[in-house]
Amino acid sequence: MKFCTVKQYFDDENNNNVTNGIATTVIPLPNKHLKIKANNKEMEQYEQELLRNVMPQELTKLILAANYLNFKEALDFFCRTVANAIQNKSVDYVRKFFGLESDFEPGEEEKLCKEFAWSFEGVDED
Amino acid sequence: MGQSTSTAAISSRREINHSHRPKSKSTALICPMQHLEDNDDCEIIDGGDPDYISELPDECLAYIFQSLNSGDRKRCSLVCNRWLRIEGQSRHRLSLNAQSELFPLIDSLFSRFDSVTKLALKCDRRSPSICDEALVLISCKCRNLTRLKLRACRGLTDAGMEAFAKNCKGLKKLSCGSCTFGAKGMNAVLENCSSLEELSVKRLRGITDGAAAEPIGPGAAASSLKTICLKELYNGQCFGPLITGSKNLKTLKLYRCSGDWDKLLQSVTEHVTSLIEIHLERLQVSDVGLLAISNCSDLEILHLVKTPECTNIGLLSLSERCKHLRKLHIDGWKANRIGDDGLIAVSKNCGNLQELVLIGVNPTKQSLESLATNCKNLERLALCGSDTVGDPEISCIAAKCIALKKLCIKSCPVSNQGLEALANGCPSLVKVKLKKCRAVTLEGAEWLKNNRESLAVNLDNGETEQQDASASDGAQENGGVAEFPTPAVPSQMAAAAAAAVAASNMAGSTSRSSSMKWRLGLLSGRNLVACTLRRWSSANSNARGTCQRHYDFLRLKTLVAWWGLIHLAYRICMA
Repeated sequence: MKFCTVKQYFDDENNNNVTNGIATTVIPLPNKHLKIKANNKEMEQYEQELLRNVMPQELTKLILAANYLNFKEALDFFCRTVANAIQNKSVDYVRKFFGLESDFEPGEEEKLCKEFAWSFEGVDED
Repeated sequence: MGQSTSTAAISSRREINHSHRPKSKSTALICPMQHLEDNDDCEIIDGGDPDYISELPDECLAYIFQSLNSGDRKRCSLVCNRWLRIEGQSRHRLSLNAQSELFPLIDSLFSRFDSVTKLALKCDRRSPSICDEALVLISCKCRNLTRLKLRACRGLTDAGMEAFAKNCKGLKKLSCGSCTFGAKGMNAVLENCSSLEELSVKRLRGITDGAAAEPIGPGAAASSLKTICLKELYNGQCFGPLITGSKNLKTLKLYRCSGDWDKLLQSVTEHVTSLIEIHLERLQVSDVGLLAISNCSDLEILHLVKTPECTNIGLLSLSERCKHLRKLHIDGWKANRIGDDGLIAVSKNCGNLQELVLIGVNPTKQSLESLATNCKNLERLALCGSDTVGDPEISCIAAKCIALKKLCIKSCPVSNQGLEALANGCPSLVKVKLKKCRAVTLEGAEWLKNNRESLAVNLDNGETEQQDASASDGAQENGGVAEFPTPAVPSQMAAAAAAAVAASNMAGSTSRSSSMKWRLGLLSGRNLVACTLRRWSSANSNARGTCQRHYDFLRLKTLVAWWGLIHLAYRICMA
């Protein structure tokens, strides 16, 4: 069931969404997941390893691939990994991580920061 | 850094992309294919510092944001314009400081966050809160609101609540605390929000007492309501028609509401028999109420916390009819109205019992044996503040509780010897927690750890502030075992030590070192000094007395001041 898209992928020769390298990483994932599903610590370790060995660019491709293959667990996993990578980090760090540049007008960022800040600050999460 | 890929690389990639235009048919989870057209940048990165995140469709980016907390989301929104837009549009949960100053910002706030379905508006007691107009404006902007939480929004009146309810008819959960609107507003919500499933009300000041009390409910929401929770209400009985009218109610929680509840429980359970979970805490309820509850034959979870008029008789009659009981929490408040008899009845009638928490109840081997033998699925057991649970009782548990996975013992006369029994008994045991059992030492715990490696042993003999075992929002469950919130605060430990030293000097006791340990064990409660002196004079070794346990802000301030003084005294002594 997880791989209904895979058949289509293999049938579709012109498919450019998923490069072979990515497919090699994504497809064995279910087995890996099943093995380490029970063990949270192992998952964390695997996540760390993935983060170290795989560049952000690869991660985004993995997300795209998982999405295309309709593989929810992998998609959750990769998105969560990206989220963990940018958790508690500064705005600049996040930009660097993804190779992005700010396209705000000068002063706009500061204004945005201040605009609703007080309405969020000190309010606990739901 | 940034989007600085060479133009040559981009154009070559575009050629590749164009020649392999993907088919329109898509089975992708999140992103529709057409998004790829917007992201002509690279599938294959050739180098430089490309912006790879732009490849990701908006929906995927939003999916990543889902795992982040509010603070991280805020930071992400400042990365660039695209992220600002996506973050705002994908934020479904918003928690705001609902002071009156929020009003002028509502327009722009909800333009940026246009998909909010769960909203919390929290004000503090000192500041003026948003008014009706603000709430109505918010309700116009968030038509799809499913959850609303209000805290100390004293500027909201019945009229505001009514107008809000008319705009947000899809509301599923309402939680309001320390608000001042009244029955009219509540009824308006119940009339308009016909899909309401959960209602939680704490300290609603607008509900008047006596003759002027307007009944609340049932309303259009009565058939959809699944959970009703009432806390600290002066005139909670006015919710009677609502509770009685909620034919599909599954969970009822009543905490510290004044007045007699026996009668109301009787009328409720005549009409509502679907209840699965009932929490009664610090309520005027007796065996009559328990008998009424026994009408709910599907009852699975029952919490009876500090209801000293509930006795063995009531528990017996309840157990005879509620045979599916899975989780039972009883805080007997040391009143000894519930003991062996009631527990034996439960054990014989409720074979499915999985979780049992007993606080201030004194079971003996008799009932523990019966429970162990008859409740073959008993997985979690917590015994707290029992004078009768000692080593023989632990041995009994160890020998007979085959299914037990988690065991928590607090403030009981158990010693290291009792731990020895656990080394070989309870074959399914995974975790044991020992708190404030003075005769259990680190050595004992280590011994047990070494002799049963698969067992997680948690020893907390902390000379820390002892808190009320009954959490006001129901017992906190940590992996199934009731956690008794007792933060280990180092400063308070020092205070305890200092107080002991200072007092032992004052009392002129014999040996400082031997008495200190004993006194450290006695020190408890928020009324640190008062309780301490009282206990030393009565030499009562039982740490839990009948001290007033209500957490009082004034006492906290006094406590802090005392701590400062004592700490100073300690330093002078030790110098």
